[in-house]
Order: sequence, then structure tokens, then C-alpha cells
Amino acid sequence: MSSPYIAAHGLGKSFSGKLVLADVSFTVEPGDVVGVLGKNGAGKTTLLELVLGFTPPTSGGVQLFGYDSYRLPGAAKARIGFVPQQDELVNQLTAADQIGVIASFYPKWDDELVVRLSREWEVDLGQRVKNMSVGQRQKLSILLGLGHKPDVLILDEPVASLDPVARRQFLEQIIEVAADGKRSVVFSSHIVSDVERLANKIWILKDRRMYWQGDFDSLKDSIVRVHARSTQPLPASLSILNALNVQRNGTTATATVQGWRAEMQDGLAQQLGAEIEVEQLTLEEIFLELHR
Amino acid sequence: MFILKPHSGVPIYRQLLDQIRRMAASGQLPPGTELPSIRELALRHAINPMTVSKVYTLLEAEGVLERHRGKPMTVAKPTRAQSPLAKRLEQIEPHVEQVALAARQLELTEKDAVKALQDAWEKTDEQSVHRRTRPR
Amino acid sequence: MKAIARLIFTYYTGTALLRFISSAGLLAGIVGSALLLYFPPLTGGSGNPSRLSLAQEALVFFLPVAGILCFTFGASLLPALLARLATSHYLYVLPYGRAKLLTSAFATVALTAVFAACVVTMYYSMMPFALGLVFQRALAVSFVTASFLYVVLWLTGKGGNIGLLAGAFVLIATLVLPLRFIAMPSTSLTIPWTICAVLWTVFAASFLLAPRLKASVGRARHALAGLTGSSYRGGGEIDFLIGTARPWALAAGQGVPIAIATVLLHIFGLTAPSLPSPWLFFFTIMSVISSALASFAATRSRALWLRARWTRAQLFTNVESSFWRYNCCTLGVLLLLLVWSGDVLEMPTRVVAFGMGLLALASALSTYIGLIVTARIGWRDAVLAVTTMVALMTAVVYLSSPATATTTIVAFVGGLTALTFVVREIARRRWGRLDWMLCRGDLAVRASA
Repeated sequence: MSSPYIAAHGLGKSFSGKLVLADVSFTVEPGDVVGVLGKNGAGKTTLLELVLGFTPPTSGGVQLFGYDSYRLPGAAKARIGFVPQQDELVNQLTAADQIGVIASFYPKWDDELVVRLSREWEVDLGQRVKNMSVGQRQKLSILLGLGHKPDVLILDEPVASLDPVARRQFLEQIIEVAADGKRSVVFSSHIVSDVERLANKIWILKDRRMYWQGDFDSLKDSIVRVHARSTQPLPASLSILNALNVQRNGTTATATVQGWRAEMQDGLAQQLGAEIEVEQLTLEEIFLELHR
Repeated sequence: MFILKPHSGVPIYRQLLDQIRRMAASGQLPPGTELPSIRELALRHAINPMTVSKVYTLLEAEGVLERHRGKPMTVAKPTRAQSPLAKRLEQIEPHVEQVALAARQLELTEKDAVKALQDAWEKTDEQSVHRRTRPR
Repeated sequence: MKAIARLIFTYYTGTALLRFISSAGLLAGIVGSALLLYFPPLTGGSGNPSRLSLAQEALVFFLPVAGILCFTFGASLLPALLARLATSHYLYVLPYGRAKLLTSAFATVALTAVFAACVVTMYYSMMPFALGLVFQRALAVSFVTASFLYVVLWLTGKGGNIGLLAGAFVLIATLVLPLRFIAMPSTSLTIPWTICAVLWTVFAASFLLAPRLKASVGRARHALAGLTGSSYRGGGEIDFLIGTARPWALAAGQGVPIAIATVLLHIFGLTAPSLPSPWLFFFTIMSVISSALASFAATRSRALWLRARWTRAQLFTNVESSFWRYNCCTLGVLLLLLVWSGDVLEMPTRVVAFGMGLLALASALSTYIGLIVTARIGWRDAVLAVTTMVALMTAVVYLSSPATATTTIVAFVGGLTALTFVVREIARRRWGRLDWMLCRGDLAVRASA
């Protein structure tokens, strides 16, 4: 069993006296595609910056390839790719020159891949960066993170400004990266449908803590919506174990339940004296229910 | 080949699992048919390759699929033992329940529902299945 | 009315740093004026011998001047805010937005000019001049100068070498003009007022008509875009990411205007002894501007953390060398110009010789002061920066006065060198602990992009 690419324990960050992130622990194994979800201000960008060593943690620690992130050595950096939320492109250069500048830092750079993708994604390599639209710049930023074939690719809101066609192309590229099971991808996104397709692990950041992390499939099995239908009016105060919110309407009731297991269905049916139907939720619905 | 809806409540792996099982059992995927590689399938449907890998592995363990070194996965020959009646009925159960639920909500009687099922049975006998869009 | 007042207030007090500078300037100006009322003037006096030593006179002279400068720069949000709002969508929607914005700009410039004129009048209060006339002259000159200065601030604030270049050009024009009027009090005032009227009319017209002119301006820009820009030819990747890739642009931008100004001064017959102080002052400011780029270095180096194989300590060393490569070019040009213009304008040898050292020191000092900016600009950094500038300017004053002993000058140079090393050490330590989360850049610094 190979060691994880990224490992964090008790990671926390305070900034000017304000707590930004508290007690976060996780691992990222080779082959993982991790989707990071959270409301704005929940700490997603801070988390990614801590992982990459841009800023030191206030508590706990995080290791990349076994090295302390804040003091990442040179050789390890060649195995990381990062696409920031706000691009860090040099306005005066052309796209080709920008790629050339970044490529020169890495011992291995796949020119052919970058040129092919720029053609598919319709990024004009001869255009000057300052004349590009926001979407073009974002695509260029993504290309800069892909060229050296990193083992760990970290992206912060990479598709916020891309149209659906461009987003799909991006998704396909991430699948290519993850396909051989030896490279990992961590990306934060508001576009929950994309995360739903791609991620096998989900991290949900809520109120500056890691609210849920784990297998995506088990998340979907764990948080479900339960519909109860009875011939008699249901009791006024329903107490369903681990319910996130309950709505009662005479003879019917709906509840979102956390930590659900299939065996619980019969027990609940008996408890309420009603027929129980279990509805599985999309990731977006899960996210909304958690924040209701 | 498969219809996958990433945004329905059902997890993608479950959808794919069910579909392959059904199609293998019903003969839509005859034994020996080559399945797309993990990468191809993931790309075509824009889903996580690990999901596909998980499904393929599960089905291989069940005996539905066969792995060949260096070549794509193929559908295995069915044996009676591998799909007993009970198991096959189990697969159809969620769909039948949905029909029953819908019928009740529309205040149809049991007889109406059974008649509808019989009509559908005859219809699917006549035409080949893969042209049909499933009514939802 | 309310919007205009609010805008003006924001220009002066928008950030903590500016609040400090504006109020300090106001205070210094008032105190300095009060001092001037009670002490005999420094030069061109009423015939009374000075009761103060040279140092004290220098202080009395500089306090109100510093006050004027601070108050002027205190409104440095004006160009940034004006530019931002002018190009935003807001302006199309706010009632009378354009007119109010324009009025606020005009009012701020007028305010600065009036303040400067008052202080200058105080300066002449002990002399047998008609103060009303003095005030008028001072107002005319200050108004033009202030207008130009804010344009300079806007150009330098836009970032990029083209901005610095253009800013340097205008700055030179700004400082040459008033010199002429100070030296020849008989010149009529119609010229500066005409310049003012013309410039402001053109500005106001284009500002108010901008919505209609947008299309044609866009086309012109597009055509021009093909001509500018640089290309990358391998080597110096760090320079591109830090922004030090094109020193020759700034060097040329400084060189050409200085050359023109020198020739003009020579033609007008303005030579020493009235000139050494402003002339050297001016060169020193130029060498400081060219190193202002360094304050962006920490933020921009973020892109290098994951790409280059360096630790944070190595990052500092490499960024430092990048800046020295850059400075050598610009400094070299400035030094050459110093010697040449010193020769043309017949500056005393001592001034030129020590001036060269002073320029190099100014360049080094301001680079390191820029490199210190690794987080929000705190009051400590501001004090350090201001102290450094004051020290430099004091050195200039002492150097340009023929009465100063050589030993004093050497002491100054020694002190400034020591200061450079101290500042460098501070910068080095900070870069060793660089935290890019704190490095988001002061709002006033990043007003463009």
C-alpha cells in the first residue's frame, strides 16, 4: 500500500486573530479525485494554500509526499501542479511566451500535450494575455498546471468562468489525469454537478471545519430524504434519529436524515406507524440540506 | 451503450452496476462482448474512472464479467447458478414498486395496473428494446 | 454636493496610510508656516543675519515643504479612484455621476493648490513683497504642478513599465516648470493659467463625453496594441514573473526627458548656484521611483514558490539579484545623465561626485524598502519609509549647499549605507518567513490591474 500523497492532521489556521480553519485531518491517496465543497468563506482556499505551503499552519501540520508543506523541497515541487482561483499571468506576454516561461522551471514538460489542448480548448497561443477574456485566461492557467504532468494537481475554482462546453473539456482532461490511478486531483468548485461526476472523495467544509469527508458513494447512501405516509395523522413532535430537518403535513412527513442505513427503514416504519419511502439526493441537494 | 444520469439520486456506480447486470442477464450483451476500457467509459460519460473500475471489479467477482490480460473485459457466459430466479426478481423489484406507487397515486385499481403491465409485456415482445425510450 | 464632499474626503483618507500622511502633511504645513512667521527666512532674506544654524534652517525650510508634499500625496487615491470609477459601469447609472466625479477631482486639486499657495505665502511673509501677488503666483504654479502630479501618480499607479516611463516624463515637466517661475518673478501669470484652463477643459470634455467616444478609442487602442509588448527569448524567467524584465524601457523613459530638461534649462540660462538643490533632489527622486517596483515583488513571487526549486531564503537571494540586474541598468543611465547634465549646467564637482554615491544609495535603499513590504503596510514600515526619504532629502540639502563640510557629507553617506544594510537584513528575515496569505497587497498599491 503506497503512502498517501497528502496527509494532514489537526490542521488549523488563524489570521489576524480570526479563526479561519480548525482541526482538519485527511489523506489523499494516489488515484483519488477529491471534490472540496463549501460555502464562500468556509475555508476552501485557505485549506488549499496550507496544503501547498503558501502559508504556515497555526496548529497541526500537513505533509506533501512526506515533506512538511511550508518547507517543501525543490524536487517535490516538480510533482505538484496548482491552478489558483485568480490567475497569476503576466499581462504583457503572449500565451505561448507565458507557457514558455513557466515550462522552463520544470525538468519535464509535455509540449505536445499543451499545444494539443490549447487547440482543442480554443486558446490562441499567439494572443497577448491582457487581451484575453476571463475564460481564456482561466483555460491558460489550467494548461500551466497540466504541462509538467504533476502527480498531485490542485485546482481552486478552476471552472468558475468557463462555459459548459469548456467545462466538459476540462472534466475530460481531469479524467485523463486520474485514469491511470497514480495521480491525484484535488479541486474546489461551486459547480456541484461537476464534482458529482468526477469525485470519488468529497470534503465538505462547513463553519471552518471538515464537516464530512470520505467516499462519495457512501455520502449518497448516508444522507437521504425519508418520506413517511400514514393513514392517521402523524404525531406533532416527530423525533427521528439524526434528522437534519423534518417537515410534517398531517398524514405525511418528510425528513432529511444523516447516517442512514438500509436496516433502519423497518424500524422507522414501526416507530411512526407509516409507510417509509427512501429518496436518494443529488449532491447539490445534500449540500443545500446541510446548510439549511 | 449505457444511460447514466449522474444527477439522479442513485449513485453512478449503482446505475452502471444494475445496467450491466440486466443487460448481461437479458442477453442484450451476449457472452463474449467486449466492454469499453475504464478510461474510454469514464471519458464518454464524464465520470470518475475509479467508479468504472469499482463496477468492473465487482462484476468480475460476481462472475458477470471476465478479465483478460492486456485485453478489454468481456461478458462471461451465464450459468444457471449465477442468476437464480430470486436474484433476477430482486433486480426488477424497484421498478415494479415504482409502477405500483404511481398507480396508487393515480388511484388506479390493481386490475388496471396488471392490465397495463400485460400490455407493456406484449409491446416489448414485438419490437427490439434498444430503440425504446423508457417512460419516466 | 454630498457625493462630491464624500469623494474628496475619501481621496484624502481612504486608507490608514493615507489618513496618516494627509493629517501629517496638514499638521506639518501649519506648524511649518507658523515657524516661518517667527523666524527669518532662509534665502533671499530681508538682510538680517540668520539666527539659526544651517541644520535648523534646513529643518524650518523643509517642514512646510514636507507638509505640502505630504498633503499632496495624501490625496493619492484621487487618480486611482477616479480611474477606477471612470471606467466602471457605475458611472453610467449614478445620477450626474460624471459631473460630480469631475468636480470632486477639480476641487481636490484646488484644495491642494490653495494649501500649497498659503504655505508658500507664509514663506515670503517676512519679505517686502505684496503678499496678495505672491499668493496669486503661488496659486497658479501650485495648481499646474498639482494637476501634473496627480497625472504622474495615475500613470505610475497603473503599473507596468510604460506607466513608469510616462510618469517619469510628466514628473520632469512638472518640476521644470515651477523652477522657471521661481527664478524669474517678473514673468506674467497668463501662461500657467492658460495651460491650466486648456488642460482642464480638454480633460473635462473628454471625461464627460467619454461614453460617446468609447468606440473610436477602442479602435485606436486595438491598432496600437500590436506595436507594444515584449516577447520572451529564454533566460530571465524570474524577471518576467517579478516584473523586472524590461529595465531599458524605464531607463529610456528617464533618459530622454532628463536630457530634454537639461537642454531646456541650459537654453534658459539657468545654472548654478540656484539650482544644485532642486536638481539633485530631482535626480534622487528619479532613482527612488525606478525601484518602487520592488514593493510588488513579494506578491508576485507567489508564482515562484511552486515553480522554482528554492526555499524561501533562496527566493529572497534570487529576487534580490533580479532587482540588482534591473537597477544596474536604470541606475547606470541615471549616473551617466547626472555627470553629463552636471557638466552642461556647470554643477560643482563635489556635488556631482557625491551625488553619484547618493543616487546609488537611494536606489539600493528604496529597493530594499520595497522588498520589506511582505504584508499589509503597517505603521512601522510607513515610518521607516518616511524616515528614509527624509534622511535622503536631508543629505541632498547638505550636499548641495557649498557651506557643508566634506566630513559631514561623508558621515551622511556612511549613515545611509549602514541604513541600507539594516533594511536589507529586515527584508531578508521577512522573506524567510514569507506568508502569501498576508501578502494580498495594499488596496492603494493594487489600484490598477
